[in-house]
Amino acid sequence: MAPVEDVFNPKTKTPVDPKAAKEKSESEGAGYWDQKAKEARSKREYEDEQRAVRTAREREENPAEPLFQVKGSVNLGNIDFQKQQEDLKNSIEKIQTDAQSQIQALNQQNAGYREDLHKIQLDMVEKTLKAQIDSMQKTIQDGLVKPKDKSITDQVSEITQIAGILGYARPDPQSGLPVELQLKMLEMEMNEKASARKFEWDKMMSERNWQLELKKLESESQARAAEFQQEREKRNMFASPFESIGAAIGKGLIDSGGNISGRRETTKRKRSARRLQVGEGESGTTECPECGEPVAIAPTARSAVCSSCEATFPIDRIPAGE
Amino acid sequence: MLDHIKGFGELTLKGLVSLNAPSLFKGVLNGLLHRDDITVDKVVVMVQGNQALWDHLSPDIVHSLHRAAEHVTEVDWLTVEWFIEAIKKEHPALASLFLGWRKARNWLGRQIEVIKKELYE
Repeated sequence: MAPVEDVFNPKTKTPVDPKAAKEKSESEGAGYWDQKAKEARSKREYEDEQRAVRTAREREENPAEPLFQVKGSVNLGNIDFQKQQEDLKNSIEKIQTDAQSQIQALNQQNAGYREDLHKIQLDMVEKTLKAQIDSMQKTIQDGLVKPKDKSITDQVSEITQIAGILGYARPDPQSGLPVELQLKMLEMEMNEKASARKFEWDKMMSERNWQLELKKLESESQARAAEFQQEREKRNMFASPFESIGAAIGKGLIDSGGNISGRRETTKRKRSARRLQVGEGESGTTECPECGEPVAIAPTARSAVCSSCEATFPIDRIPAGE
Repeated sequence: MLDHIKGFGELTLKGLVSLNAPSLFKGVLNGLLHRDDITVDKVVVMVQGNQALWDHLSPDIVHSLHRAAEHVTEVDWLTVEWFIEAIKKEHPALASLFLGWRKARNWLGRQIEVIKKELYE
């Protein structure tokens, strides 16, 4: 049996010299206490490690029960990746085919819309032109050109008319409006119609007055023309003898070579050997066989005389039967 | 010719017209025949129907003849021969008709007398 060790009386005793200790503490005081602090810290860390080892051993020996636990099994079956690839490929092709057919359908629809748009545009142009032609014809028929600066009412009316021709329906203004506003609108519409009637009446009266003025001016013009014609005839009646005097004198003197007596110099006519043959009772003119000047043949004359060469031509009358 | 023209300046209008009446009437006559387009056929009809020439004259010609007659006091020169001579240059066919047809010549003489009577009586 081993002797009991007196733990309160250690075997190893270190003799301490208080004086040296005092000197030592004075020279090495801080180092001493630092050494002490390290020893205490190492001891504490050793004890923490020992405690952690014990806890881990206890956890391994007695593991803790989990809070939730799933039990059972899942059968994922047979997974065929090639088949999945084939199906995926078929699906993609089907989707592409559907998309292509949808694109074609949309393109066809788009083309149809484009044609419809062209038709609508052509129809709109045609109707607009027709409306303008109708308006121009109406203006021409009325014979009265409206003022260039149209009133707002006229502009709204024209726009409404063109919109109606183009197929745009006019919204019903009376839906959802207060009664006072509807009455006001009706009153304005009535005033507008009254103004239009007044304008038509004024236009008609203006046209009538214009026609009356035209007829009046025409009659005045005719009267003046007749008066002028009478004046001219009267003036000509007085003036014509004197106007023609000079020319006649000159011409007469030139023709007579200064002989103004007017007496005809008698010359002896020569009887031509040539004869003229005409029908019984016929008359007319022919050329003189001698000089080529016109010669008149009287209906009952037995001879014809050329006034230029004074030649006389006997006339042989041929009976009608021969 | 120049002497005649120089002398005309010293004459009054009445004297001028009276002195040159045959030449004056010659120009007027030819102008009228041209204006009214008097042809042989028309004259033949008038001669055969013995129509009065005076009745066919338009009012302005009658007025002109009256005005001219105021200036011309002597019209002995107005004969059938003068008439034919006056128109034979511009209307040779008409002149030929009067020369070759006695009936027309007589008709023309009667018409001239009627005209003289209308103007101076």
